[in-house]
Amino acid sequence: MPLPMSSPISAIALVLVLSCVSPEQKAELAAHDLRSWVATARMTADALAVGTVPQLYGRQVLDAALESRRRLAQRSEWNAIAPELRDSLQSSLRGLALALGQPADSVGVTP
Amino acid sequence: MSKLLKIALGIFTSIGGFLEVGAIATTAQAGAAFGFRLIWAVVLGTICVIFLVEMSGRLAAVSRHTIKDALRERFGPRIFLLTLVSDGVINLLVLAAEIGGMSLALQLVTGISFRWWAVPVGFLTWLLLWKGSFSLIENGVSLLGMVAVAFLVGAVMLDPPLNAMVRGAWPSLPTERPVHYWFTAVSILGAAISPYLFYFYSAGAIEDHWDEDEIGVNRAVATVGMSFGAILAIAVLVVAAMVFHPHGIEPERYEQVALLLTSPLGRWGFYLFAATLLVSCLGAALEISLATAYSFAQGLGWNWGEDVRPRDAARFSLVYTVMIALTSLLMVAGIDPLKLTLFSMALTSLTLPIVTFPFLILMNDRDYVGEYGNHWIGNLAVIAISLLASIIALVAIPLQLMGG
Repeated sequence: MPLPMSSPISAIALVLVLSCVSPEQKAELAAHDLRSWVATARMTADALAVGTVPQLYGRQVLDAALESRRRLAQRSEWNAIAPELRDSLQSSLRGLALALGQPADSVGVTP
Repeated sequence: MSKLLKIALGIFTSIGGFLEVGAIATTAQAGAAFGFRLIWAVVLGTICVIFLVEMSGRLAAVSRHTIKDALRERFGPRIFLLTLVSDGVINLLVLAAEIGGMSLALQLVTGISFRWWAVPVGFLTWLLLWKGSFSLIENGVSLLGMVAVAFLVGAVMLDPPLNAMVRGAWPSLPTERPVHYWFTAVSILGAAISPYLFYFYSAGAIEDHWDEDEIGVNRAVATVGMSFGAILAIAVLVVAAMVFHPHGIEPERYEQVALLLTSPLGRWGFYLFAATLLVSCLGAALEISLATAYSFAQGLGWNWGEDVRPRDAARFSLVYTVMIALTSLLMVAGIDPLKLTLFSMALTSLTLPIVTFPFLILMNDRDYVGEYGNHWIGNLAVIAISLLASIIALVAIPLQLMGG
């Protein structure tokens, strides 16, 4: 939607004030973060497979993804995330671990 | 040095100075989350910073004053202290983000945590300031920053849709997640209009003994250099829009951002990303440290100059030494460098009027700039963009912190 240049700044402020985050939106944002990590883990595993990133980088991504999963799982919104999406994270983390030559169960279990 | 060579060198250093951790992080976030839709924020920020950088060079060339010492002289200690405190806090946060960026770059290629790298990179930054000359910092490190051209190459190789890019250059309302959209927009504006850039530039003009003959060079360097810098920042956004956005990757860690260039450039892309992050953050860290030391010394009447021996400008050297030590320790403490970067850039937007409005008064004061005063277009552009950035930041920052 194009923004007419004459629109008052107060309209932007109003839009922002009206956009305070509800619990449903928080859950959607958490799901968004999860999807982002699923895609990151898959892209990193693909990059490792073709050798465009070094192994030590892959390990950093895996560690960061596991830390993010732990942090997300501690939030109240976690239970509102679809189980399929959580499974998807589990499978992408396992895929990344395998690409790094680690056993798939080294990534633990997504709660 | 011929004028043409001066212009060329100035343009290279401007490009190197423009693209730092803030520009990389904010544009990568924008491209990943919103595709091409926030290109307008880079364009708007660039217009404003071109005017401000040109004004700071003109002020120095005509009045032989840096911004800070002119502010102190024209407005007295209260306004000067207000700008000093505002800049000091922002520069501290941004310097921590730059040290964090360098440390992260080294973590990416070595696997050793960025917290272990914070003190060594802080020491390297300090050593370059202590031992190096102004021209080494101005030209050497900034020229190395040209490695960032890798993003332009990557963007071209990805063959982005030009129509969508042109549409993105025009401001539009968000269709989803408005808080995140506006927060990212003000972060981009803050990264583009970083006050340290024009403080450093104005002090550099004095260090290089500019006079009225340099006004043409100054205009060319500010306009062309900053525009090329902006093209590189847009290239980062485009690469993120092409590589991350379709997959739904929105980096919350630098580890994710490192994948940006591997799609178009393969394994080289990974190392070029790390090199760009390292060198551009080093250049910015040197400039921020110096700009802060300049601000204190010029306003408080201390001896200053990067080409002066540290013992002859002890308080000036002490300021950057303390800044670097403090910010390195912040990173050792484990603050998330990406979050710190985005927050400090948004905070920069919030405080812009404190910095730009007194500066504009100076640039319209004939006692300082004589016949070289501002045109109304420059005044209007800087007032409008600074106010817009500050008002959006005022609303978006609290909402983002509340969980948006």
